[in-house]
Amino acid sequence: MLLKNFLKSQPIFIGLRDRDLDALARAIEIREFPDGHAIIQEGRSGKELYLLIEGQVKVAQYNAETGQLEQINLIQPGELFGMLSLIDHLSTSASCISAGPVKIGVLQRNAYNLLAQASAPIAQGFQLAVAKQLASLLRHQEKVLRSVPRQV
Amino acid sequence: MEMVDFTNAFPKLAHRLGVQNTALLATLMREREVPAGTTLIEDRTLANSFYLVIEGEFRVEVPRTDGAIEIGRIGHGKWIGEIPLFSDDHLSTSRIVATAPSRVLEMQHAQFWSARTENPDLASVLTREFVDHMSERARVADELINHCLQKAASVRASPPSQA
Repeated sequence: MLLKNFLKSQPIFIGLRDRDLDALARAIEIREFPDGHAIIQEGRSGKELYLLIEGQVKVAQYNAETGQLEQINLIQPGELFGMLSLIDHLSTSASCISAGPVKIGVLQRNAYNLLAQASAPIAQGFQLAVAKQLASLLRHQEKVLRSVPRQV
Repeated sequence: MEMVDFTNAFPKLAHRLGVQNTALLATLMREREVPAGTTLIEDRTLANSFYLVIEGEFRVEVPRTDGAIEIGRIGHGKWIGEIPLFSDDHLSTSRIVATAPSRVLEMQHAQFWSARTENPDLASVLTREFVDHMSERARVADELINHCLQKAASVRASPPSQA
């Protein structure tokens, strides 16, 4: 499937016009990874924004008590990830690991910064997509906080 | 009630907006007093507005069957209620309670969506503000989740001794 058609079919990109989808699709590089590949490693500096096109990606945090990675989320096609580090310039807070073979769209930091700071229609549509993804992330985190063992 | 001097109260936001959009935003937002102890937003309810805190403080908590868990405090210059704005179901994700006598500026979700077509520059600045604020909240929630998971692992590793 053409990347533009994929973007067009995703709810978070509804705010983008047809020509903006073309431009965004041109800025995105497609990469494929096998099962178990660490697309993002916790504690590193974020350099790219990712859009999952096919497959699933596990989000996991290192648990210092057990020395293990604990899965806290499972990213589905159409979701953006790797945003926080690009927004606040801090290190990544979790690892993102492919759960099976995946196809991913990659937007470089420079392109992200241009889109995140500009006020052109394409930038506004992109900012709306990022806002929707963050709202979805917060909704998921608060769902986890409702059930996570309370030992504080 | 004294009108808020938007530029002095929120200089960083006013700078990002510019003079014209600052004046426009000031006309779109309605000031509201929130007495201490008042629930501004109830958890899992339909939200139609978002808020900018002028003064005071709000506790953000997620209700649980074993009591609410506090996930943060929100004070001057911070936003409240922006998550439902970007969610399909428009439901709030937490309970927001004033911990001190507070004042906020309120704006309807519908006004924001109108601004996206009528005043796109204003809407763009607001969206960027919300993105920054939501990313801060996501970081805090990440740390809290990690802390809870580590504590739980610690308890599992060393269960209380049985007499």
